[in-house]
Amino acid sequence: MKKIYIVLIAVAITFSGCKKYFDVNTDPATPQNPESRTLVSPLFAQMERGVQFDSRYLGSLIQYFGGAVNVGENHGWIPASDAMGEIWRTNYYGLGANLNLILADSEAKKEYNYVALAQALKAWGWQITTDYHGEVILKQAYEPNRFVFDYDPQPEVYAEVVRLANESIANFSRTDGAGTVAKLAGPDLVYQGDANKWIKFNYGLLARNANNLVNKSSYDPAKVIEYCDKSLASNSDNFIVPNNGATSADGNFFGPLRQNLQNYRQTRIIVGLLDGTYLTATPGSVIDPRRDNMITASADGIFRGTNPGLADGGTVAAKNQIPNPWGTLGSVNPGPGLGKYIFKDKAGFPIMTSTEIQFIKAEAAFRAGNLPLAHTAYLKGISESIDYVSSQGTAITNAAKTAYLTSAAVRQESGALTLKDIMLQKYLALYGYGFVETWSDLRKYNYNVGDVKGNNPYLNVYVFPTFFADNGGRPAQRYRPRYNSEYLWNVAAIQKIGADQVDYHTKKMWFTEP
Amino acid sequence: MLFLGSLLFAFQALAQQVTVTGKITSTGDGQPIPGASVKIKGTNTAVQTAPSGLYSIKANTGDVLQFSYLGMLTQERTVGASTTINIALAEDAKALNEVVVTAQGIERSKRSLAYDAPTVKGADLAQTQRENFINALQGRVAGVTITPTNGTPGASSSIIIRGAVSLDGDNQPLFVVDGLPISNNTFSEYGLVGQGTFNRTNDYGNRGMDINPEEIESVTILKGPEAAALYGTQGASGAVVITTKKAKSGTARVSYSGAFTTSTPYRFPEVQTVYGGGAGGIFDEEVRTRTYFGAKYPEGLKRYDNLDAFYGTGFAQRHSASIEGGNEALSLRLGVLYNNNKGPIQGTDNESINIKLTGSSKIGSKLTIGSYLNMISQKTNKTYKGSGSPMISVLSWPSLIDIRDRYTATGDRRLVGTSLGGELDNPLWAMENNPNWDKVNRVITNVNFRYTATDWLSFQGAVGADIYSMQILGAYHPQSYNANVASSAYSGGGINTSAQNSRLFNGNLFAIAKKDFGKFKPVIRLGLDASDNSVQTNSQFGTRFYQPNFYSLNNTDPTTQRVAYQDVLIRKMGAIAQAELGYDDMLYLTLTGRQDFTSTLPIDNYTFFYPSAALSFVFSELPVFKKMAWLSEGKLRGGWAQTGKDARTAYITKTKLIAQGTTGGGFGVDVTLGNPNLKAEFTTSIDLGIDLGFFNNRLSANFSYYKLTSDGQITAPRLSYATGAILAYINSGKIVNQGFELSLKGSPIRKPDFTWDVGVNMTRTKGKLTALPGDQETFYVSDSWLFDNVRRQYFVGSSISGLSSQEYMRNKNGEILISPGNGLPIKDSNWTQIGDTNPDFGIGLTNNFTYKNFNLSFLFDIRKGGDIYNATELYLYARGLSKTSLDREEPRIIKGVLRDGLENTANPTQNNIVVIPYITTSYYSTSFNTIDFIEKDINWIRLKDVTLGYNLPKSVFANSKTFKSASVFFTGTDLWLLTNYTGVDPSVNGLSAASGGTGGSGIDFGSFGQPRSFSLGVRVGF
Repeated sequence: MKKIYIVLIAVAITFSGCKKYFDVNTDPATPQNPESRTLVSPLFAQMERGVQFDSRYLGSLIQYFGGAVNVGENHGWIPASDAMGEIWRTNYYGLGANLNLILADSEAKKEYNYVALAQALKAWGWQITTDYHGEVILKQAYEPNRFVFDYDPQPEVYAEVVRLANESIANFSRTDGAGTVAKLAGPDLVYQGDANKWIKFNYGLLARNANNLVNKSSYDPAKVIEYCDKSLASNSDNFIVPNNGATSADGNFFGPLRQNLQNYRQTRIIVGLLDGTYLTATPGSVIDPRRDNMITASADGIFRGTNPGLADGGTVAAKNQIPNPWGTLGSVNPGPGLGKYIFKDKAGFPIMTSTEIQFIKAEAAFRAGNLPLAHTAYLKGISESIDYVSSQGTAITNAAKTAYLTSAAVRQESGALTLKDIMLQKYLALYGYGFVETWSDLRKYNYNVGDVKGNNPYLNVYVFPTFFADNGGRPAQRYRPRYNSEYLWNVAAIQKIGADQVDYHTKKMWFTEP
Repeated sequence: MLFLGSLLFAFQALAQQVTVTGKITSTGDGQPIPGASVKIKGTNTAVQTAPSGLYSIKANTGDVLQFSYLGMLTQERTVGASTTINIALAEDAKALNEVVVTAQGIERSKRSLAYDAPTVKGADLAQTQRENFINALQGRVAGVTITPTNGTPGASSSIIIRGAVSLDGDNQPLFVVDGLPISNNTFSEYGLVGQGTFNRTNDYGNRGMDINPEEIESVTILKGPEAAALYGTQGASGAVVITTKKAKSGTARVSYSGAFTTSTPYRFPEVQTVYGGGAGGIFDEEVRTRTYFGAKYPEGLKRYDNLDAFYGTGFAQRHSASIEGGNEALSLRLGVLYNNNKGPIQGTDNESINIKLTGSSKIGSKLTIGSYLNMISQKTNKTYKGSGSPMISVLSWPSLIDIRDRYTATGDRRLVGTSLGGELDNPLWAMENNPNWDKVNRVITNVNFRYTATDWLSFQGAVGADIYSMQILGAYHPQSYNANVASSAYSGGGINTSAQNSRLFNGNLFAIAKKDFGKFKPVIRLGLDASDNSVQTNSQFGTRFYQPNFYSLNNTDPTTQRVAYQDVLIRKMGAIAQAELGYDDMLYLTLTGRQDFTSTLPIDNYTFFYPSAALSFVFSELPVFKKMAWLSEGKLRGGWAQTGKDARTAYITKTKLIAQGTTGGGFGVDVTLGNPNLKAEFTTSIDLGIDLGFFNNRLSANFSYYKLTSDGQITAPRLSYATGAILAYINSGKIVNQGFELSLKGSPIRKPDFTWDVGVNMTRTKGKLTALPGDQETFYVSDSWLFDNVRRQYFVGSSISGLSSQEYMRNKNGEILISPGNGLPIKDSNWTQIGDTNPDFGIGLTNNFTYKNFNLSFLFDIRKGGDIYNATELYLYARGLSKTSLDREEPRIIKGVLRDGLENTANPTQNNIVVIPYITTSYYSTSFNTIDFIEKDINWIRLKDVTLGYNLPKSVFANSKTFKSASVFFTGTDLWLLTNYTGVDPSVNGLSAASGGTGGSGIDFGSFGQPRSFSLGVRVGF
């Protein structure tokens, strides 16, 4: 009997030793079990990457960028191309996969601020992805051993954003656990671990989310105002992705190092918003103090912008060439370190600003019929924008700011305030960064057609270009999911949502509909 | 009376016990046969001969002694008055009695094998004088396809046995030398910083080429399922089992062979020489361009034959010497090889030295120990290939400029145009200024033993190590095209270096029990094998050389320096049980089971089991067939097996994290998702065959049919990003491979002075992708997307060697859609399958004539069907160099309908736009139809090897104490190629042997085919 036991024990030892001998499948050269700390910094670059890459097309669509550089300006699309699919990549890969690792690591370690950060960025990702693409893969995303994925309708994505933002707020509010400010401060390039600012960012997401639904009967302006009041209160709360600007890897995508903006031109709409054309109806009547920081004059000193779908018709001889966003003529790259406004190698890229929040509040208050509150927020929005633009170039003096705030371009009495005042100032304030948010606004109001209630703030300001042939005369409402992600490997699901149709991009989204 | 007398004599002798001694030799070469058996008939008393062939046995007079040795005809002698019996055993012509070294060093009689295990003699391979012996295998064995990457020295060769079983993984077989696997790895550029060029423009040699062909005794190809079942995960793509030469005891024998070889390329793509450089039909007088859309060359200009100036004649020398000898207790063989192969492209060469010491020792009567130590050192100087190949640069070099004129007066790179980044390097300049080499230092060793415990139980085992270090350097001069072209990674000149350390330890141990019970002859084999493989790769990259012409990382701008580091450890083990149940030398049932353990799978799935069963029926042993004198042998065989395969590399159960260069640094997940749920993939195979021998085996035939079904392949396809990554390791895809192999051998003439042996083998294999996970439709190998829009892409239901591209768009009636803007066709953005590189079949034909002292042998390699992507021609076409573009001045209307919105209506607008390609050069440069460059159904007949040898008559050496034998030979390789392929050589690989799936075979981009080589050599025995 004893002998049998000895043999059995020997076998058991051998077998467990054997298992141990083969348990060497962990890469000694490349980490596979990261700590959350190491994953956080690159997330911010992924956020700006998604927005900026896609804004080469979307920026033209919403007419922040002109010059007829690509089909974006005609509300078009490119078959079999990954172009216009970068937000998709950011959401699922650049952010998503990394956020899942942070959640797993930090939930186990009870680092609730890390958990909360991951939830906030997930919320941001879902919001911008659904606002950009419409139906997206939500429930089945990241499911192990799944090779094809069904799409979920937009209301569910909107609900998920609310859930995640609220959970993030709750987790940032926790004082237990192991997640200290000091632990997060280093990798958190945006808020340095400041939970209060992150909570404000979450409320900003909730405000965007709720205020996109203005056309719904369920729209609750009071809730939006409440979110705004808890959100970013000043420019020091802004969510800005920093850019080191030393190499093309860590430079701003819109900076000269990356060579993306040379062919674009400043647009008529931005020029007109900065010289009183649209805000006073008299061109040149009020020159916005932000103008010199944001755009550039032609060689003859006159500010010009392109019309939708048209290239720069200017010539060197006539001195009427239209500058690109860097302020240079003839598609010249000014060189590393130069550029203009937030189109510089080292410029930070805003993901959310307090000025945007003020305009959201103004719109909600206006719709709630509380004009004084709307007016206050409207003024604050303009003021915050001027301060922000001032910080991105030559400082704007207080005198110049005051002069503008009391000028005819700014509505002085709350009673006279219109949605047009609010939305055009918002459009201007978000120039160069609030691409998807501005597009959501344009779509809420059906561009220059107006919403069901007859509000039409962009009338005669936003002008349609000649539409892309596939559009059937309709403006774009969405972009297709990324080609190399979905159109080769998830075809059945694409067909189910109609994204295989040539005019899929003109299909209206749920959030804009009543 | 005589009978009676001898009987009486026998009875009389019965009482006397004597000690019989003697020597057993072979009738063939007169050499002693060690290990031959001497047995007293009807008893269990037996002894074996010593290495000297001597034996000693105690027997009674009258006993009958049986002298036997595997593969030889058994002889019997009755013990009589003489106590010395010397025996000369003759070879048994019956192939079925041959012994084959199968998997794991197990020797089995051919009779019992249920699969075809063709064997090639090492001498036949060595005789071709090929530097890489693998290239000599092509055509000699059914079911084996060799694809050399290039015809330059040190190039890798891909070997695929019975078609690819993996969609994008390694399909190269296991290389086994004297019982243990060695590395046949081809360095993959995925180990370089930035993953190099994905194996597209460089090649690093396959390590199997380090084997000295002169030291190979034989090569056996194991392709049957049973063999795979024995080698487990490593043998899933078959095995190349190499047995090296062993020492024979006796007085020392020395031999030398040497050969000098010249090689010349002789096939080149044709280019037009009518129209000169320029654009839009305007001749560029000053020749500033390498795009040929200009006017016709004016008369009387001096032209240069730049092809001739660039491609020269290669010269190689190979010297091989061996010494062997020893006694019964210890014998040794030392083999040394020096090879220096300078290619036809100046600056390319491969130099190697190979020293191998093999020993064998008998300790006591039961234990034999063998060992070898092989040291190899080699260096290859290379050209780049693909888009960096000299071929496309030479072809696009203006014929008005002498290509040899490559430096300016100030010593700078001379340009055709005006910008360093505007044109490819002058290839002569590139060879002198863009160094590209690899070096290997390697030691392979192996210690093996056999211990005969009792007459029914024996043990055998081996432990081995294969350790090598490889150094790689590839650099571009600051004035090189690659250092100046837009967005160049090599800006200002750059260098890629890598050092790889590879260490493989392995071993096996078998217990073999063998006992006959009357007609039942079971053999039980129990064994274990294990391997521990560790590879570290340290790669560096830097740009902006401070000082030109000094190629070291220390000469680069430190801010540009980058590194990549890989450290891969893979452990594997297998436990094997095999029962071979033989009945009456006629029926053999072999059952095998293997339990595998691997470190590459998740630890919960790290072990798996698979069985196989095989039946061999030697029906010629049946009385009814025995009567048929013309049928010497007949065997029916069949096998069913399952083979498991682990993940192809380590560390894919989790996602890797990649250091990010974005602001703030940190990690981000890799583009390929790891998978903690991976399972072993399984291949189920059946193999049926028949082996026949006629007229005392003067004629023999083998036929095999096989079908492999590989399911749950571990691949890394692209998937929806909703997985959280761009690619993901998954168990996916099902491939079915089927085909047949047929080989015939005959000896039509066998006379004392004249013999003629002929052999033919035929191979057909078809692989099909039958399913992908989650109803996926397609899968592609992205590395193969190397020039224009053609790539190796498979669709469900299609071949796994398909090529896909984007074709012209068509309307619903199939008419080509024409752009109303320019009158040129519009290309579709969807990918469709447009070709298949898999041939219909391949044939190898060998002939061997011996007349007195002359010997002539030659090998034809024949292929039927299979498409080739002639990317070189497309490159030339797009630059106005194709001969098909000579009608460029002729106005034309491309047949098709305008894409004006009416194309799919009942009345589409017929194209009426006139195009003159001479003016509208985009006709050639962008509007080509890619499918036109997929050359369909390419056949070839290739005279691969020819050898004429002459053995000096023995009388010459009769009085010499130094020389024992001598022969001279003349060998030619790749002398002649008949093909309908318009490019250089259809046997090409656009990638290298490192690429997965069916790789780049059949993709010809700037490749340089096999040159024509002539060797003259001698063999001398001392």
